[in-house]
Amino acid sequence: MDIPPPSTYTQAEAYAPMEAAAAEAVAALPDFPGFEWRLWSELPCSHNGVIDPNYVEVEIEYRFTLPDSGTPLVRQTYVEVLREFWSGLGYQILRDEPVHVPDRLDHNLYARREDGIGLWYWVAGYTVLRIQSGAVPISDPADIEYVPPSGGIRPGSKYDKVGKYFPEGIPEQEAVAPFESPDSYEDSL
Amino acid sequence: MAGADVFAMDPDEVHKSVEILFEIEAEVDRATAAVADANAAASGPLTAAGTALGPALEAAGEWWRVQRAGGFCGLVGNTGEYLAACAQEAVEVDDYNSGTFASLAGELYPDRPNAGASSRPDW
Amino acid sequence: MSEMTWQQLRDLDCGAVRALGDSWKTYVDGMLDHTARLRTDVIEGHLGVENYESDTATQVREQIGLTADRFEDDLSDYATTRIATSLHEAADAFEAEQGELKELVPLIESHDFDIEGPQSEYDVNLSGGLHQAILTLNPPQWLCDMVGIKKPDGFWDWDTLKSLFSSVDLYGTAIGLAGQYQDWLRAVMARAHDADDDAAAALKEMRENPSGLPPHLGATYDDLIDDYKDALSSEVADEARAIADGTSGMSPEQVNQWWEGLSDAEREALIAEHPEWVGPVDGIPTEARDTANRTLLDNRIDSLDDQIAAKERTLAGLDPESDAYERVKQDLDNLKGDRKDLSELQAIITDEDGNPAMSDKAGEQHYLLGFDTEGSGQAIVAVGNPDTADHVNTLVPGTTTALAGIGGSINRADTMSLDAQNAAPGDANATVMWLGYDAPDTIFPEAMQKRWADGAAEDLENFTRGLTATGQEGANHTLTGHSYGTTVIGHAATQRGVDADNLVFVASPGVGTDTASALGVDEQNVWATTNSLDPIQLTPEFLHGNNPIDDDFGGNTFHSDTGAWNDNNHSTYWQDTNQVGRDSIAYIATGNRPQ
Repeated sequence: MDIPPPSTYTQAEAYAPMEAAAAEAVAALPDFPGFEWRLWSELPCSHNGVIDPNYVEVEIEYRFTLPDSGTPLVRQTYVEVLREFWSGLGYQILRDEPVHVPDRLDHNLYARREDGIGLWYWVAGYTVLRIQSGAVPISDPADIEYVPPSGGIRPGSKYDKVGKYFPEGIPEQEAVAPFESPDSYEDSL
Repeated sequence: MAGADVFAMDPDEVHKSVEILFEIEAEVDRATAAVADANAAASGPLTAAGTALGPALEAAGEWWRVQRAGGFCGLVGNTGEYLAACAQEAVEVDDYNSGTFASLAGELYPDRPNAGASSRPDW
Repeated sequence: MSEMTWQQLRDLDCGAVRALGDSWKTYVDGMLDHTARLRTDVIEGHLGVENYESDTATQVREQIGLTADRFEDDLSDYATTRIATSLHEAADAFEAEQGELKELVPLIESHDFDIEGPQSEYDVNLSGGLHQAILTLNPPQWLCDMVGIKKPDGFWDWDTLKSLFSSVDLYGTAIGLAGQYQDWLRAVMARAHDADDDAAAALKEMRENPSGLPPHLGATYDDLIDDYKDALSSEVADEARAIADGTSGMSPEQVNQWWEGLSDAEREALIAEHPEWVGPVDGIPTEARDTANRTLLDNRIDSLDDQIAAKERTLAGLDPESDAYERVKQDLDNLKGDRKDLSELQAIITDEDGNPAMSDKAGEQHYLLGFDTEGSGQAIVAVGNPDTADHVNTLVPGTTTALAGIGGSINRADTMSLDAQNAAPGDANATVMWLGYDAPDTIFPEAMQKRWADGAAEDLENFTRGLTATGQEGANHTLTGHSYGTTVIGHAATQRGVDADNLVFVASPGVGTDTASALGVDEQNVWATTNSLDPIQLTPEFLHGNNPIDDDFGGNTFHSDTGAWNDNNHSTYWQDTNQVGRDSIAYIATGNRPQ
């Protein structure tokens, strides 16, 4: 096979369902403290060792603040909730294992949906929720539309790290937030 | 004091400078000989062990003793000798030769630690 | 050339070598007291202006100052940087390899193997006794255990017959183990000889190209002193040129000491006037290299623009049907290709205001540590400053990596940095994408050849030593290879030695040795991963040695999931379904070894 299997989405089409997956997960989390930031990024896709310029992997990372990353709620309860939640939605749990590192018990929970979108909840020093697209055909940057963040991050704030996709500025929109929130929770915790 | 340019000079102070220069010359010579000896002693076993470092180290130690520390000592001694001669009879740096100092050496610096240094050839 | 045997290395008194280095340093300190005294007690004291004033007096004070300056420079450049540091580096290197021998030789002897052959190509063979034991169906217990048979204890009993039937396995197993010990021993001696030769070269070069001394007071002094001052003004430049040319014989640590010994003005002048002597040099701090390399990159792009314009003018005057036209056209295309590649590199590391750009993910500054357009092109780019980092992970990419499309590899480094931040909050980390070698362009035949790795070994050794020299004391260094990059790391580690706390081999075709023990890094800190569908693991052992994911290689393995492109997963380690590989690499690189 010289090309990857057909993907459900193009790059530009992937952001909306990926963000919806993040919002869906956030909505399932009790006593949600809010995320510190959101980051949109890409990873190269390669085949036979050669980077294929026609494909890209989109990754969206939501990160908790450092204090929140250390709480039992985020480190344990959320793992249990997400495991149940994603399983209940029929997502395939591909990895669910603790990681013993010095002075810390981390955890990896990874689920994949039928449409190829992956969800990775990594409990580490910082705890992050990562939404991954898999290999998708690359899109013209102009076709990528802004999708407001979940988890209480103010759209367009410095904690909404999507600026490189919107050099002309981020459209004025309301966040898809579970509650009104400041730019960041960093200073209030 | 007569000379090529007009000197304001305190001969006693110049002599004190000369003494310090000769002390440094002798001290550096002595300490260098000690480290060079230690170097030569350590390079022997390294050479016997088939290392490339052993011979290179021995050569480096000797080079340092003769060329670099030795060069420094020569310069310090030479300057001391010039100043000693200059304190007696003004002489420009280009006109100086070690013979001028040699005739003064025994009289002015009988205790110069680095005995025989004044016999070094002019450079 | 080093001709040390393994026995001579084993018996060497490294403590004496180190003590001699200490003696030189103590000597230097004492000598500096004397030069200080020349200044305070003579120039500014008894021979001060109030006691001795005239043009001649000024000249004499200047002569004493020049003499002190020269000796201080000599003490720094020669006695300290060259002699003492060479001794310390050699002692450390010899002692490390002695430690390996202390572990290895008893293993060889206890398995009844013999060491044979010349110093650098030792063979480890089965002894006559071991041959006989196998042939007489009386193999030693350790060999029976490895093959999985019971040691025969009777004549023509069942176990003896099994031993007979297993003789091929017995031989193969014994020869395989001897081969691993042979790799290990050869690597130990290769590194020891390399360290020995490097130290000797540093001392030899010192003697062969010394700085001049001030002239003595006496005849022709006035003429000679001007020549001396002229030479003095170009001395730093001469040293910098020799270092950049690789003719100084100095190690990266020695280069760093030399650099730190320069005045701020000298360093700034070198960066501004001769960036080509600063940018590529291992041992010079990252900030300085980055500044110099950015200048070089700008200059190179400007130069390419000029060359392209000139070629276009030439082309316009040629008959499109002529051979000359084709040749010039080809040259023009090559120049345009280089221009495009360098512009892309520049766009990654520079923001819209022309300042150093922050990386997209980790938010760390990009530092340009080197680039070249020769061959497939090279680039060394750090995400985060390795000089200030607690953890430095150097990624060595593999087959088909080139300057063209270098953004993908820098992106991987950025991803690794982000992962490291998450794994170790509060720690400073940097990830370096080191394409400091001409990587194979094809899997077959180029990646089957070891010459690319051999060609990179010394450069990678120097790069890792440079990171140690310029970095934080006790920083955690990891070398992560991908694909053929693992082979590069293996060759550097076994032939030259690398300064790394951890080695990580991702999707390796083999690292040029059959055993992790030969790598000169604690075997517990050697890691390998290859996902189960990656065809790289099918690379035959005779090409690059035992695969590091194999049990008998030693070290550790960690899991990588298969990727989405299930027919070939060779390069999916940083993609979506390989999160296991990503977090494991982050844990290792931040000193959080998974337990």
